[in-house]
Amino acid sequence: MTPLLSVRNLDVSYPVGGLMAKLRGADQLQIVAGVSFDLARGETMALVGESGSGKTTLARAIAGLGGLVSGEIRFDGAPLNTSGRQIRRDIAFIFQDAVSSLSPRLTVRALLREPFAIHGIQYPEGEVERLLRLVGLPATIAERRPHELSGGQARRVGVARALALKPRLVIADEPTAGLDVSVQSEVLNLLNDLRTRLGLSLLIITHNLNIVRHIADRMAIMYLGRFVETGDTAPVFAHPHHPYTAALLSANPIIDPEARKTRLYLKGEVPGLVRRPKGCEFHSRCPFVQDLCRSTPPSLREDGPVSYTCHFPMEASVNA
Amino acid sequence: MSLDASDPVLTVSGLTLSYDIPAGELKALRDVNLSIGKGEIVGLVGESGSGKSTLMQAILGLLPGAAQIRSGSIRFEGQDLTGLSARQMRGLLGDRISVVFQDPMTALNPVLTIGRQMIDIQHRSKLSRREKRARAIEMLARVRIPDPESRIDRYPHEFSGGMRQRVAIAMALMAKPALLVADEPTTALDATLEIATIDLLRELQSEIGCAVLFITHHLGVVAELCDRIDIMYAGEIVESGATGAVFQDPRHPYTQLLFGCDPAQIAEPMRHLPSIGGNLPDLTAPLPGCIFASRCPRADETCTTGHPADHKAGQSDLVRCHYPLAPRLEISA
Amino acid sequence: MSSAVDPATAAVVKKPRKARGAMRRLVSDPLGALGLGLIVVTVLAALAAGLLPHDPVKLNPMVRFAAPGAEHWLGTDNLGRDLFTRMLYGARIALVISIGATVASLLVGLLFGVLAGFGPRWLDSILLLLMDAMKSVPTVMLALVLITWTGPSLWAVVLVVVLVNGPTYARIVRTQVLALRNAEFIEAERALGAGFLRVASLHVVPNIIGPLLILAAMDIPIVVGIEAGLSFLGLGVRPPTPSWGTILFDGFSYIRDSIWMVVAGGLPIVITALGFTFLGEALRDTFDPKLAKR
Ligand SMILES: Nc1ncnc2c1ncn2[C@@H]1O[C@H](COP(=O)(O)OP(=O)(O)OP(=O)(O)O)[C@@H](O)[C@H]1O
Ligand SMILES: Nc1ncnc2c1ncn2[C@@H]1O[C@H](COP(=O)(O)OP(=O)(O)OP(=O)(O)O)[C@@H](O)[C@H]1O
Ligand code: SF4
Ligand SMILES: [Mg+2]
Ligand SMILES: [Mg+2]
Repeated sequence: MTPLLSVRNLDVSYPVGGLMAKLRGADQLQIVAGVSFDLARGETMALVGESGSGKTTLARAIAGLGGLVSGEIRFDGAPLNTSGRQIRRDIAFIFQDAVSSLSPRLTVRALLREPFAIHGIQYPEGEVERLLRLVGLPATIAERRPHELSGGQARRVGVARALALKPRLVIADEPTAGLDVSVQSEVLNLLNDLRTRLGLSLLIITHNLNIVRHIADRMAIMYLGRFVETGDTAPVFAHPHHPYTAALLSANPIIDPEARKTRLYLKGEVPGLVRRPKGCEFHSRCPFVQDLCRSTPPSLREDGPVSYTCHFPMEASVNA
Repeated sequence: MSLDASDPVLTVSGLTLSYDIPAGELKALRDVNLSIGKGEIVGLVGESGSGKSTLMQAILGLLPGAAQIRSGSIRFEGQDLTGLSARQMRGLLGDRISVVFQDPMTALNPVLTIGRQMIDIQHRSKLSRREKRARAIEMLARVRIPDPESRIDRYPHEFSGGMRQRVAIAMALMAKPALLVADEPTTALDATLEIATIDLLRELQSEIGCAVLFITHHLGVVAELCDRIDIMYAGEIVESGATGAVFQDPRHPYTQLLFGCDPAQIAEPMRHLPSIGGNLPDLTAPLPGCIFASRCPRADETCTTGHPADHKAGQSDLVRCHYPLAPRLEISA
Repeated sequence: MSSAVDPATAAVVKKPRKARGAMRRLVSDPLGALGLGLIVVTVLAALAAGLLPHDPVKLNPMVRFAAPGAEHWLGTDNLGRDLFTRMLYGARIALVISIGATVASLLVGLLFGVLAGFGPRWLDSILLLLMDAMKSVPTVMLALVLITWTGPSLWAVVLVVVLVNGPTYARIVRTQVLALRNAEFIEAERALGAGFLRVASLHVVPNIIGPLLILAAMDIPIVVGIEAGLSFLGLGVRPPTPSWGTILFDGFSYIRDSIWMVVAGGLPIVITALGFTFLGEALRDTFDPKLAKR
């Protein structure tokens, strides 16, 4: 069966303003570089990585929401038509900033009706209440406006809006940021329910490694706009190959003071996109850097269900 | 003013506050007690919608017009903040008290460059414009914004979510305040940056000796950063104590159930995650009795009729529950 | 940190208020109540004009310069017309022109402002240039040129006002749209498939209209003044139509015969101008987040 979403060699850039930039011929800033992956029906993939590494940019490009895109995106076997209206129903997007992604003058009721109104769909009786129940909000909230909601309540309204038209792919940018752990479980369980019932595919961007471990089938780790490691979730957690993955996983804040000791710290500055490092782009911060890394970009390597780009992968024991 | 070194920087006592909404009066905070000592880092966690941000806005005098303080006081360095005029409050903010908001975009003006905003915020300082700019760049570098010299002339929407959040942190710390209030400042950061930011916060905190009120949902962050933890549920602080002690031996049923839902604490991967079940009570008409009674597995007659007092229990300084000494609750997925 | 929250944008994006609450607060402000009262008086006057027994334009040479009395409350003018009647009819003209012209300016401002703010860069530059060019022409010059061309009429006055105020509004709209354009909720609407018209009308305009309405309310007295001024100069509403400006103009010519013509033309201008000015000030106070009740 063809995957629901198939991305090949995707590059995404943003135009940068300024006459000087134009004159230098550097009027585009490449954010995402050479990303490829498949997402099967009913599969959950988590996208994690450095803030600013281009996760949102990648997700928005896939949803046809901006950026200068080159490369191939296929949805359901056919090249993605970003200008059509159907894609807006098939792909739902949950935005990173909960409150500011809700139109400030509309009530929650109006916000939840928007998707139906936009697509001229007959609006089912009691739908608002049903959607609110789905995300665990009381019906009394329907007459409030976004600024009268708490962060978590706004987040759940965003989730309800995204699910209103029964999309086939949900791209969720930090769907649980700002939720307490109990409500977080409820939202994730809801997405998971829909996944099993309707065969929905999920692309979840998150910084919360704890939930990745529980709900994702596969994960991709992004650094400076590239996937540095991808693979099935359990093996990646058990044995991260790329040093960035290892550092990221070990940095997860934990309650048990004992477990903090094995932390792998990254040194140095986060490199800018303007001057990408030569060789392996992680070399400026890698604790295990060698001469080879500074000169030659590593190619994609595979180890069972995991693929990664590193000359000197981590041993299995380091973080297991 | 003669202030004892052991006096708390901030004391909230008996704070009760409601929002006027069309459906009536939403009692968002009820009899909230909280105190933060000098140089202490206090973590505030709890159900979303429980009033954490409201409490923070009350402290900062930034409540929206619909909010009304019914009773209680907020004392900061010996001064009751509830009585201050808008002008007096503005004098404190950005000088003695700084803020980082939950949503970084609210703190940043979308039509001004980051640099312009970081220079404007130093309006109290006598430095030259060039020096202010240099300080801004230094601060950006300190919160690890790459290419700070060129980034500083960019607009907020050209930054990633996490970068915006770090800019907001940088701006809050520039004033060297006595109290930093931070509403979920690390939510948008990846784990390495989150740890780095926590370390940075702690470093700056001990450097300038400021107290911190840190609102977050990330229990791991509280454990790593905070000296004390306060747990909020539906407008009340239900438990408070030293971080390590509360994590080890939570006393309030809500705290116990909340900790039980933390996916970090569940070793085996599971698709269906545990949750407390039920909803926040309707805050426009809270029932008599314990606010958690409708969801509490332990609730009985006493709980549904009488409002529990604040007890000291185990190592917790405050537990608002009739049965703080009962054996621990376990959550089933 | 407080200064990092820009009050203007915070007001635009964050805190829409319920209209009902705003009205209550507006009326509880003495200035606002007074302003509203004066405007209500003007509107009532305009409505009541038709109920009066006298004809506003019919000449009646028998009773020129009559003093105020039971028959003619404000006396009569140089042509024997009842001044009170003419004053009330003048309210109609003044309101129709000032409100009509202001609404038209608002619409023009919104249209061009949204186009400039949302459109491609080149369109923005062109429109911006146009707006600035329009704004740099002095009002009187503009009026003179236009009216020499079209001849004096009510419509010419409206056109002048639109040409003067439209660009100002458009600039304000453009700035606000630029601030909103990258807002996440606009993106969110686009992600749901909303088209340009829907985004502009449902999500952009409602969020920028507030400050604009306040501005417009404060501009209305100026428009009343422009109308009166142009009519006074003989460039606006043509006699015998009873405009306050023409009444005032005639009044000055016959000031030695009767001062009541000046009163009938001048007093209502002052009242209406004050009414709208007070209302505008109160509106601004009501919506300004810095002064909002805490
Ligand atoms: N509209 C834009 N114009 C120019 N540059 C942009 C724009 N949006 C984002 N960027 C840049 O693209 C890079 C990636 O941003 P993106 O928002 O995709 O990161 P992210 O991985 O989602 O980060 P986070 O986890 O912090 O949300 C950043 O360096 C950011 O500054
Ligand atoms: N301006 C307002 N008008 C009316 N009700 C409000 C307003 N702001 C917040 N509320 C309500 O008050 C309660 C507390 O909200 P608050 O934002 O303080 O919660 P929170 O603990 O910060 O939640 P979260 O963790 O989700 O951010 C919620 O029920 C919310 O809906
Ligand atoms: S008082 Fe009763 S209902 Fe409330 S938390 Fe304690 S046991 Fe549960
Ligand atoms: Mg992002
Ligand atoms: Mg909050």
